[in-house]
Amino acid sequence: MIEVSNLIKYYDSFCALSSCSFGVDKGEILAFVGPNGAGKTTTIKILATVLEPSDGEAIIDGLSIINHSDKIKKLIGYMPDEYGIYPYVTVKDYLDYFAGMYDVEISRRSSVVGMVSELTGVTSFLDKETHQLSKGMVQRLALAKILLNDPKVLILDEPAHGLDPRGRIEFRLILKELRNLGKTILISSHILTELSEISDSVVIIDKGKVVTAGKVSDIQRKLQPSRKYQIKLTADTLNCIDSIRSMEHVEMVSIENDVVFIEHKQADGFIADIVGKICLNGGRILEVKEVKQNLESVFMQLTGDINESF
Amino acid sequence: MKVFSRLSQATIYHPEVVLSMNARFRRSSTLFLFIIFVLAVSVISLLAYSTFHHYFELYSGSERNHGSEYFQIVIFTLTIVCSLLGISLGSGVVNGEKARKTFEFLVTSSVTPEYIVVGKFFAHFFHILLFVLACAPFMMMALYLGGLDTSLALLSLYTLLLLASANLAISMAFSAMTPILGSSMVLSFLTCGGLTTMLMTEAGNLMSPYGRLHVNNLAFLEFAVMFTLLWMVVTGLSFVSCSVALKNRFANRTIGFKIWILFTCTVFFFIGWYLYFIKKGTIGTLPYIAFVILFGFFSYMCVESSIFHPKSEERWTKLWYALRPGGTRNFIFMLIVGAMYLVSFATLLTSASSPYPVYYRYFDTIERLLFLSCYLISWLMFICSVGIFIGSHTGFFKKPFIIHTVALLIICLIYPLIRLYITSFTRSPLSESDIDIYISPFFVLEATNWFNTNRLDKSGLAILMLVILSVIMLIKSHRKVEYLKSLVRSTGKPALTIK
Repeated sequence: MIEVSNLIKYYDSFCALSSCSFGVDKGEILAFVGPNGAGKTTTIKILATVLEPSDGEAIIDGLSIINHSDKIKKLIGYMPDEYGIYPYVTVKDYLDYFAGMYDVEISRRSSVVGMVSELTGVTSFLDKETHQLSKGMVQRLALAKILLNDPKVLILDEPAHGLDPRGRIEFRLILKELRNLGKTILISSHILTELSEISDSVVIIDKGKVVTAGKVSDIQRKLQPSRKYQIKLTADTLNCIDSIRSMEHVEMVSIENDVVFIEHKQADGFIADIVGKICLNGGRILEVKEVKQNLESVFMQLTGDINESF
Repeated sequence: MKVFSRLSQATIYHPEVVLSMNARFRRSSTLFLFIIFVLAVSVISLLAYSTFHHYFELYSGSERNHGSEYFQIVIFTLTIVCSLLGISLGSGVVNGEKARKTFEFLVTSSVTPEYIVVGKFFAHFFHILLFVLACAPFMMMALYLGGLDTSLALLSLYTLLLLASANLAISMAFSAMTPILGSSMVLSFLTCGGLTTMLMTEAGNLMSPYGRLHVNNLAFLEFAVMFTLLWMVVTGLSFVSCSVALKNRFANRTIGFKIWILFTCTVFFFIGWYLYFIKKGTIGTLPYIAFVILFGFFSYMCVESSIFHPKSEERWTKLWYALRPGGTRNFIFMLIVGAMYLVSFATLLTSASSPYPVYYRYFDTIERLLFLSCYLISWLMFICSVGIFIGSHTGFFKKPFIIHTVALLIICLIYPLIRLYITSFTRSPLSESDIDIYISPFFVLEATNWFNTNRLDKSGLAILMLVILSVIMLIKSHRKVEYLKSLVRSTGKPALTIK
């Protein structure tokens, strides 16, 4: 749905983006992650047709952002990282206004506004004036606004910024619902735990370059080739793990606070062999869990030092 | 007819127009503002009518035309207010979107930049139109008084709307060219001041002192066509500039865009200033409108930077800052104008033509310009203090244009009062017909007179009163601003935000 190739952006002599390439499949949620000043917002603004690239190309639903920016505007819903809402107007008037600005016919406006309000949970405060809204309400309103033209692609720059935990959870639920509706979502955020829960794939960007891109699980595997498991045993049977150390393909066995950590480079089924061997040696297993590297640690590992990671 | 009907429907139902009207009519402050406006116009027109009484009598004699005279005063007041409104509303249209952070939402909507620009223009134009309609009772009164020349009345209304909309369009263009509201306002004030002067003088040339057209129908038509063409050029250029800015996403300025800005600015200034000066070869009576309007901007700057100056919290800068409530740039401006004032004052005292009575016509060009600078400083001081006073004592922070409007209404009220005072109570040698030209440097002339004769006469007392009033208002305003700042500090989150 989105194909970014060799995108370059200069602000005078400063290079904000250097040869940035990645892709997003239809109906997918892509997490766009990077430290401050990495070039996330620049990329997003280019995709949203707010900025023009210095070089390179981006295609959204088969249309070039350079040559068909007008058509692309009808395809996308863009929520900037910082935005304002016109004050002293009601939420309904505000949505009506943008429905008009999205060329929705007058006869259809009220039903469209009703639908997006329902979807984003804005209905309860439709008659409230915008300057009386809380941060969470404003966020919902902004989301409702970008859905007015029924976009195929949603581009959200730090959408959960400034929201309390409840607001974030609610926002996440809305995004999941939007994914179920078939929307392709590109989302940038600093709250990585949140992104890892909802995103299908991730692009990590640093210093204007894409450090890595792909499915979250693929990246995790790439960064952590060996599988790590934690096995909890009863305290009296901990000594049985000595037999595991001698097993072929087992790379590391360690004990921390009565929990055994085992690493191997074999396929998923190999853990069954390990568990079988522990049981044979009299070990009584309480819990077996795979230790996965979360998005945060992936991010830290990749953006800590690019050269070190690759 | 069908096309016209469709166009009007598209305009009225334009989302920008609908949103703007909904927002305005929902608030009770709008009604309050209209009531104040109507009251102010009624007081100003009555005061001005009595002030110009002698003038009308002198020229008209037994042929007095009360209806037309009254109408002229109403339309003149309305022209000033609507010109100011056009500038105030238009100056923040595009860069205001940037400041409010609503710009990106707007430019990523599906409609074309031209559609947005036209919508914003009409949204504000209808607001101005409401002010004109609010004055309908005064126009009715002029009809009731009798003798009103219908062609003249229509021409005046036409010129008024033409002027206000041109000012609005020009301000919108400047708002698209400059990222800061202050810059666009100053540029708009200067350009629109010139245009206003030219249009009003041209319109005045068609009119006899008897309040009737003293030209033939062909000249009337020529006037209307010329101004319509001029309006089309100015508004068209403004619309294109605005659209180009929106297409260039405003922040992303290309060389082509910069050249376009340069071209538009040159055309505006050519139309606004040079045409007038080349044609008339003199400063004329009406440029004061431009200068008075210019200073409305400083009142806004003073109020804004007094409260939200980033260094206002620092201990050592606080005192220094308190002395310059308008911020560094305004302070430098004040210094420059102050220096001009001193130079001009010195020129007056050393000039061969300075002994009392002093006649303006004896001065050379440089001296005239220096007089103008005196005029600037006197009004600057007064309007700044009025602006700060109103701004700091009311809840109008959010709407700078209200500050301008109220400040200007007060100035409009002061003007006829001063004029009345000069004509009735002073021993000024100035003739009635020259009074408008002399009014600006009048303070200086009288001050010179007082200086030379070492005697404080009535005029000197009036100046002193004005200065004392300004100082009191400044001190009181500063205290109020300090109080508001402490309130902001204690609550942590400023409830007062200038948009």
